Amino acid sequence: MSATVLEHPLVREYLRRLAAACAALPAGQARELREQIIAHLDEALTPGAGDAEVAAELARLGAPGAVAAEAGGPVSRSLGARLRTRLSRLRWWAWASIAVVVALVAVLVGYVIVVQNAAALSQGGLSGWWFRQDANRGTMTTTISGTQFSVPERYHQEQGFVIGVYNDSDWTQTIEGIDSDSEVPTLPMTVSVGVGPQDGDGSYTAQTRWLLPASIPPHSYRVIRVLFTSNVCQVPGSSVGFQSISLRVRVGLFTRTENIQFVRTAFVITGTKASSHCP
Amino acid sequence: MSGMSNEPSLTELRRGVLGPCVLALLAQRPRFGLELVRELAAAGGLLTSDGTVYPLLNRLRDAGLVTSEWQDADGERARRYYFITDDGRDHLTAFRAEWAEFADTVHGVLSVPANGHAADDEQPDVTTGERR
Repeated sequence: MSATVLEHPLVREYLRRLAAACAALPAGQARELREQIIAHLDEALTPGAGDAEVAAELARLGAPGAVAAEAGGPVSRSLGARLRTRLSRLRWWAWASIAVVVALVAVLVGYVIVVQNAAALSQGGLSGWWFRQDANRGTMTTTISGTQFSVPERYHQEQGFVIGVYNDSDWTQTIEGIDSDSEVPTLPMTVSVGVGPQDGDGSYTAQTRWLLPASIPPHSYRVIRVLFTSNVCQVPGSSVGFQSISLRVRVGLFTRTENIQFVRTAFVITGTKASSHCP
Repeated sequence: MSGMSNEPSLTELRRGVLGPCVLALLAQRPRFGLELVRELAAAGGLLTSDGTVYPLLNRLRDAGLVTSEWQDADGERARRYYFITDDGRDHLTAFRAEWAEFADTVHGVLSVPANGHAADDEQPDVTTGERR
């Protein structure tokens, strides 16, 4: 539209009233109607049109409120009908794009479901104390509920145990560390995975390297080592035990918490009598 | 009944037929907005105001009966042209058939004089009850 006609006071006032009258319409609908009215005036009026000519044209257009009311329309169509109409006007490439997006979403959702349903790590294979002095001093008690490995606490000294785990899923699972929610301030722990020539049978040797993070291939055994240092001097008769361990494990693109229950097995450190190590 | 009291029904009548009239013009050839408005106005009695044609065009487009496209011919300003769709042609064809029948019916009813039968009937004298 030429600047002259657009800036005519009567036109400006008409468009202002039209905008106000269209306030209740959807923004896109109001904008389109305004563009159509502007194009109409641009076509109908010459740039040098006088007040009378402009006023006559605006009168023929009708009151802004009436035009807006017509746009609001007594035959306003339902949302479903409008949606169907809009969908019917989509071009082939739009449908192709939608199909690609839907396919990608389906693949992603399927991937998430499969990964989330992958079997968690479970205990399997050997288990025992890590340090020789604990192994030598430890006792093993077998009851109907399982086997308990007990060892006297060595206050402020590192102790630990090893336990075999099995990855029964079709996905490589990577142990990234102890789950923060299961960490105990008085018993800070570290975990690592044995990697070496004995990987296949889930045992370990002097050549085994203890790594973190470390991956466990599908349907494979590995040994994990849990080391801890007790910051609480256990008094005689008291004990603290491990019957499970929660790990952060990455499966595919996602990291989740897996709780490995020790099947019928518990590692327990017991208080020592009148320990000179205690403060 | 006064002329003023007929206005609302005429407005509704115009609203009902304006869409098919727009489709009929577009069935001849595509037209831009002002062109449509001028031709409808020239037909006489169809438009209450020029501005109402644009909301109607938008509704027809939303219904899939027309499409629009900006065209910029050499030496001319860019104009938004409106085209009838296949659905629009089907709609127009159906309306034409219905309208012909409807118009005949209305014409048949309206063409009967208000006192067409009364002239031949014997009317009782309301004051005496005797026939005149």
